[in-house]
Amino acid sequence: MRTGLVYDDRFLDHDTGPQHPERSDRLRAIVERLKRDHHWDRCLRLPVEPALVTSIQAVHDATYIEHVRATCEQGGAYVDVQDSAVCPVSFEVARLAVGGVIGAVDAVMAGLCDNAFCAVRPPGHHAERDRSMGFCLFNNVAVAAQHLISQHRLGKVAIVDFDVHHGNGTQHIFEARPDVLFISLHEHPSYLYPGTGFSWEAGQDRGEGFTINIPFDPHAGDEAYRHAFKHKVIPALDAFGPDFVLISAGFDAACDDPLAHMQLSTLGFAWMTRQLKELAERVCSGRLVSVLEGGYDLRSLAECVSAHVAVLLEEDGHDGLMGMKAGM
Amino acid sequence: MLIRDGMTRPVVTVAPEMLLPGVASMLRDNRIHQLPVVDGEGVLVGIVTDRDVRDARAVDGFDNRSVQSIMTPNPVSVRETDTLEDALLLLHRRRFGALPVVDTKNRVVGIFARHDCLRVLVEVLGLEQPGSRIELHIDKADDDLCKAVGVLGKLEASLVSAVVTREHTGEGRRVYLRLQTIDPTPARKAMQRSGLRVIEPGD
Ligand SMILES: [Zn+2]
Repeated sequence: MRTGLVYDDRFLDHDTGPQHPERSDRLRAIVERLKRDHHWDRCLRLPVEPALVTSIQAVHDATYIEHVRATCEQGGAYVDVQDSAVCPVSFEVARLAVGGVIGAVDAVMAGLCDNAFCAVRPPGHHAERDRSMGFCLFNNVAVAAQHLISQHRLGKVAIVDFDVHHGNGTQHIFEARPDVLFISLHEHPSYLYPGTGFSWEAGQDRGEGFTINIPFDPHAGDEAYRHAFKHKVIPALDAFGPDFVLISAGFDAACDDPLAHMQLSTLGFAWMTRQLKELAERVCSGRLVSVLEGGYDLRSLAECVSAHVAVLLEEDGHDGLMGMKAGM
Repeated sequence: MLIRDGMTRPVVTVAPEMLLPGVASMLRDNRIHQLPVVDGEGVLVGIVTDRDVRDARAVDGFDNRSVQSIMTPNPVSVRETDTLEDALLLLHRRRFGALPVVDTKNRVVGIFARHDCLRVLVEVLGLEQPGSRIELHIDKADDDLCKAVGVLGKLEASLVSAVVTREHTGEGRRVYLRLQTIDPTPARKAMQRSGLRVIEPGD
């Protein structure tokens, strides 16, 4: 497959401090590992342009965007909460992250590549319409989903979020709408930040049924995720029939992650990736863009991302067909 | 916390002269189970429940009786400046569905019902504020609590809520802290370093 890769050295300039879990070293580790495993050169590097403020406004309040800009420019230490540390250029880097993801979905829509992975930071899925939470400034995936619907006129977009934390921002932005299916798999909200994502949060009004939350008890691993994919995630995606699949790809459900308590293996991440890739091939010509969210143990983050990208790069044909036969 | 911080207001009330069919539809339309009955000055004179109305209908059908013939006169009430403890214990021990809340002149200013307890509990536990939970087991309540608070002070961690309860099995106390951060690891580690027993999730 032709797999696009979004990465830019400028993502390293979002300086959160050396002790911060969401720091530039995460991307350095990912890039080094992708090169070592020879995936780097096989990917098509996509250009990264900063998103227009009007694009970001599709899911964020104008006053919030201005608040982020002003906080960074005035040298503020964080936006809204201490977790969301910023430096003077963080606003520009956050615009680049959003722009990178928009560029990736544009590239897939234009047929420049079949799918893409976006190694961006800051992450996005906790960012609410009007405030920052948990390291996230702008909701990269949500802006991309809205861009696909309003600019590319797609009818239905699915977002699968396997970051170990609940994707509260993405859920709240789309929970009253039937054109975006949001599925989040995460550690149970009683044990993990932010404390939302109970299974009974299932969408509102016209969006009822288009939010699916799958919380796991602490220490759940590959078996639990496999079961959830077979019985909930994939059937729901097949029934929804999206025109595009977006992944909020956090790798903090990995065994060694310091922020959570799950036991997902590298093979587990690869398996989920393959399921989603085959689903996309089945229902929307393979159109899929994966966007980095969390993952805070540098070694396992790099290893899991590498395995994830390797699956995106896999040729379809017999891999895909075998998977379909085995899965169906 | 005082009752006025947790009660529901404004409250729907009825006059003593109101006829039962009207009372029934007020209960239904507002989806409530109790109505304080007040005189012309808004002073509490009774309370009527949907059950009272149902029972009256079962016996006589709907006649032209007024609410004062079936209400409970001079019901137990609380003042808005009473503590939430008053309301919680009254509802718990006496099994009332709701308590009218009155001011110093016995005028009805709100109502505190069982579902208001749930809202208070959710607020007290900070369940609707983003945060991470840390659970501790402590033996020497005072010393260990001081230690835990000291750790939070040094980390400048933003505390959303703190609850201390009896251990259900065995001695000691269980402490539930909710911190406004995605990363409770520094706090967790600092607590362990200062000798506190941190309960791991899932244990
Ligand atoms: Zn996460």
